[in-house]
Amino acid sequence: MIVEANGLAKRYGQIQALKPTSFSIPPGRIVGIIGPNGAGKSTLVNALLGLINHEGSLRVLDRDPLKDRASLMHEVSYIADVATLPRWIRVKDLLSIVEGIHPRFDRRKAEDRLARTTVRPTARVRELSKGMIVQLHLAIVLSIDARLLVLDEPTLGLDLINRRSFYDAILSDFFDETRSIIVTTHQVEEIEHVLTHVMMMRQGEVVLDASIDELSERFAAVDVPDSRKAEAEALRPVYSRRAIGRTSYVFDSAPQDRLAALGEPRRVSLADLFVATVQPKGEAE
Amino acid sequence: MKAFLSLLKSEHLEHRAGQLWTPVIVSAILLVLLLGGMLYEGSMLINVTLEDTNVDVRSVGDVLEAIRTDLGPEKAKPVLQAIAFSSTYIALLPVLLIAALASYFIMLSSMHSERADRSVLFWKSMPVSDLKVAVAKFLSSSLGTLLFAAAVGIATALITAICYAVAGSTATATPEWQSAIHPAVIGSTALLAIATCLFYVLWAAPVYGWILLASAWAPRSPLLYTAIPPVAIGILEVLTTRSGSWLMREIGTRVSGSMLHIDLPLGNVLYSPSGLAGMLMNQIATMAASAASPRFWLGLVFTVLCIWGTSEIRRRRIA
Repeated sequence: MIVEANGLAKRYGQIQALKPTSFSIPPGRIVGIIGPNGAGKSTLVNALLGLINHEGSLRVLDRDPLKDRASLMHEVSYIADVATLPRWIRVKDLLSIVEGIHPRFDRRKAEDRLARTTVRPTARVRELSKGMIVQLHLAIVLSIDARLLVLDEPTLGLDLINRRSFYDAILSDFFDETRSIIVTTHQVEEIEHVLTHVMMMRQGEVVLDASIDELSERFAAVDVPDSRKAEAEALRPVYSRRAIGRTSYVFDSAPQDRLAALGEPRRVSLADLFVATVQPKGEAE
Repeated sequence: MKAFLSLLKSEHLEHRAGQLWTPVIVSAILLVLLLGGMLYEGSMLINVTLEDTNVDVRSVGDVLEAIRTDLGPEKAKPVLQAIAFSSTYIALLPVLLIAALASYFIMLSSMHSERADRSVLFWKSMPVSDLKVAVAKFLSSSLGTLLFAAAVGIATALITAICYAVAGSTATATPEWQSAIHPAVIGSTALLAIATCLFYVLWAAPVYGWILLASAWAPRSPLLYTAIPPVAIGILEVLTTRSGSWLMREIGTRVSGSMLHIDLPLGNVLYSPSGLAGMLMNQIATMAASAASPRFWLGLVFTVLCIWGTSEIRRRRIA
């Protein structure tokens, strides 16, 4: 098992940043942790990485992350939610230091990847654009032979082209059935196609933890004309969104035949599910 | 070991301006002043005492004059060596003093800067323990800074000694410059510089350790967080005991390096190559003997606690 959490919780003074939560992540999954600001995503990720202490039991790759962080980082790579590469360092010096520190880092692989970008080895990190810094960080992370890759809002502030190439690189150069990826993001649409599982969080609580296939089976959306609104409301939709002359409803585990009677059921987008799950009921209407 | 050396390299790259360029600039200024002293009469004053001759040296011109008239080539050689040796001191001491000052400021930013620019998150993604990082930062900021300065200072001293020796041997038309940079003198001076750095750091270690801890702990302005607790304790001591502050005296003693009992004859050199080397070795022995003091070991225990505390703070803190 890559991650096993039982009653994992975190409190900052009076604020319960993460309510007791239990989950496990086996190898071969790409798990998206999705939630609005302050939902507890980064707190959860920081606990997984041994960056903060916590309550409850947590094992990552069979280690206690807080006590065995150094050992854990042999097999875990991560990119945090902000530009974290030291700005004073030159690219080639950074590669040299990571090579000295990390026994599973393949410098040649990183250099090959960087050779395909506009990042110059002699440039200092502070001279690079935001997109180039992400490319550099990605080159380092993807050149580490890790079993778990953790990405905390990795594409924040990047343009569309860089965001797409970021996820393409991760899928093609890192992921296989022996490895797992945990990614937190707001940009739900962009990662929808890469995820195998989703954990949705709201106010420090995991409100939904399911595979993409399970979500497809459980949730369905139907566009209902205003004339049949009452019938749709009777099926207790979890989310509704008004449009001209009709309303889009999202249903959880509703009978397929009754949904078909209302209109053409379709797959729910992760963005709609995100809003339906993390937004207090009624706000969207 | 490879990982630890990489950490030291990283620390050096981050603080290269303080560790390398500061001593280089100071040395360059000294070199200009010292070489200027070779050209302008009265810009230097060294009293050289041989067994039977006493020479006041005010410029290289004085040296050459003394060589020609009073001493003759044989006795001129050690005079030249003595001047070269004195210039070694002159080149080394200011460089080391400024490097010591720089080392405290480097230590002050060592733990704080990685949190300020959030690079701590990147470093924490590397498989290296917080304790190892704290030790690397401690060693690099203190001993590393001083050793870089010592290396630059020794190189400067060598350049100066060679200049003096070349000037002297040119004037007397004999190749005396080779003996003017006598290996025993240069070697023992280098050894003394390194030993001074080492024992200075060991005595000042509790102060360095405290600064490292404050740098890890301070949410902002590490200088204030470093200074306020000892100053507050010092004031409390003065108010309660109605005498001076033990803590302030202790800090002052350790930071000033007075525990090393450095006593080198700057203005009055009794010279022979072996005698000089012996004097320097005695100085090293005096410094080593200071380690027998319980104060020395208590200071190191406090330092170890500070480094451990720093690693524990770093383990739990990312902002």
